[in-house]
Amino acid sequence: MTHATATQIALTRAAQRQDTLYSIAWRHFRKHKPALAGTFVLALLVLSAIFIPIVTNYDPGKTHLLEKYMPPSLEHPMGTDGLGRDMLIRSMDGGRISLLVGLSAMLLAITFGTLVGALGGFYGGIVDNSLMRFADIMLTMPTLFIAIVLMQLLRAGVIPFLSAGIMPIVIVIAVTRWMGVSRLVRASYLSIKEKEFIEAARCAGAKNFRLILNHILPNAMSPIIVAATLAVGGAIITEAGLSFLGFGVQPPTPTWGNMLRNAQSEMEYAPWTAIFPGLFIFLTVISFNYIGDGLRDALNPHHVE
Amino acid sequence: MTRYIIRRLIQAVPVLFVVSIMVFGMIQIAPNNPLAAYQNNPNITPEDLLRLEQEYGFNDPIHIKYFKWISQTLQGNWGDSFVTHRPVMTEIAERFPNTLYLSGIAFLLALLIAIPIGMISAIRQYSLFDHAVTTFAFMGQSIPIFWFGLLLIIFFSANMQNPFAGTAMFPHPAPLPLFPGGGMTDLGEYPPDPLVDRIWHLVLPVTMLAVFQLAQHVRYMRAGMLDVLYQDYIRTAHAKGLRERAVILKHAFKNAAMPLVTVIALEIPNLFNGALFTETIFSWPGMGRLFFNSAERGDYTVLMGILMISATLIIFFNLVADVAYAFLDPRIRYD
Repeated sequence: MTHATATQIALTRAAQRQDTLYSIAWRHFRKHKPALAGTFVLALLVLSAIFIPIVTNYDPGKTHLLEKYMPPSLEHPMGTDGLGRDMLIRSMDGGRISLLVGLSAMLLAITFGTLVGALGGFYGGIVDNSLMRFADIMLTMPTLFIAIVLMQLLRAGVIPFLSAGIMPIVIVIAVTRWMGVSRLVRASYLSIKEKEFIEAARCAGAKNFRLILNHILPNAMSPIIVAATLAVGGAIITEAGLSFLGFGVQPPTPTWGNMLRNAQSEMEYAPWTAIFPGLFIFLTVISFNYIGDGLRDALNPHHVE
Repeated sequence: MTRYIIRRLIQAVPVLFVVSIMVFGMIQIAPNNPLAAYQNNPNITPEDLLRLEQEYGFNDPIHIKYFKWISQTLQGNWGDSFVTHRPVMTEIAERFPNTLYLSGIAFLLALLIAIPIGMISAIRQYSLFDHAVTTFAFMGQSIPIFWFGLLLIIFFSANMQNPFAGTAMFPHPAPLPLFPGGGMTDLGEYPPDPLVDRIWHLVLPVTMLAVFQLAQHVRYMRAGMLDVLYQDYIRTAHAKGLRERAVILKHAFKNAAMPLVTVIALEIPNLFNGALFTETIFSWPGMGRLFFNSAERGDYTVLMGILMISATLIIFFNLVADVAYAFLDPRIRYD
């Protein structure tokens, strides 16, 4: 070993290194500066949302009527609202809900979209046709309209279990968002199921269920991961939009959206009540979008040397 | 081509049928009852209520209800609003021009700005201008549109004074905001000249809508142009000595605009639906507000009317997008 040249060492290392799609992707992702910045900002936001309300030991719901509409100061870095509540701590508290809604809605939408797309793409024929027509019809209805009507139905308790807490909004967002994912997944399944390794697996006795889940899905993951990342940002905007209109998460539970709704009538004399919650939405969404952008580049198969 | 269009139109019928069932179904399971308004009316006895229910066909089997509704709808009888008791068609006809006026201007403005910016951005790829444009487009995609509207009001309405207040243009004495924070016209004592007034009220809502659309259109135009610029036929056009201007405008533009054409065709139906957030923030009495208020008040006849029209428009413009695509790109054959 002492006689080995630098080149030889490098070569052995390269041979020993287990290059997976994900390790290659990570190497590319690290070079995408906006995506790294997005990851950093997002991590900061998530940590703040988790820890700021804990460490400050301040009840975000308690009102302090003598301190209402205080402009940003050292004591209240983002000012206070009409009930004297600290905007920073309330925003972080609302951020927990907004992020939770965004992530849960994404998971639900991606799971359902992947299921529909996988079944359609794998089985083809009438299964594919009816599933895709169903997706088309869902796309025919304006998103915001479905959301508002469905939200009313769910909130009225038409289906008992689904009317509690953040469940209605999560379902509404997922219902309006799974279609794009199902199209992507269907396209991947259509092309992958014709590959030789699938034929080989079939010869080895793999059943359809196994082919769909263990053989095709891992190879169709890249577009799903990208779509999932972008979907979180989209879901957070939708949640904020619906809450802003009064059809989302209801006060006193704060979210960035319903904080903006309150701010609408106060922003002429207390602009900070409108500026900060929106800024948090913007930062979160742009971070997710840049991360998604970076992942799209990083997971691009043309990179694989 | 004609055969393709006819086939697509025929295919649209079952889709519309399913949409109508979904619209009808959603409204059927909805909690509100149109007779609820009478429930607390002392002049109406429970017997009257039962009779009314019978008369309006409340207890009919569901397929009879659907059949009654769809046959009336197809004949153009869309019913009356539960709340205002005026025909649904009148309600829609009253709001639609307001929406068209606001969204139409924003739509055209966004398009006219997006095309040249997207093209220049692609031609000078990686220049400072291009970086600025792509960053702007990315931000436009991530910004919550309603927050942007609120910021516009904070900066340009609540905290800026109109320098022309008290002059012939704006008779209202100072202080007057630079731009109004809502409404379509000035209802005050000193209204400006009608034309000035209209434009004055349009500036902020149009900016809010246009900036958002601009961000999306620029991306499509830029991407379309980048796809085309490195094609062989562009190199040929350069090689045979054509001037840059002619290459871009005559050879590249038409093909580069194709993705944008599709996006635009798919966006036109949204002009009908209105811009809910913009209309909400700027108290603009358009279609978006009509839908929203109807949903809030359980005014289901109006809701069903709007949903059916907008679904029809979306299906129709999907077809238009496909046909336009075939016209622009002779390689595409639909048979």
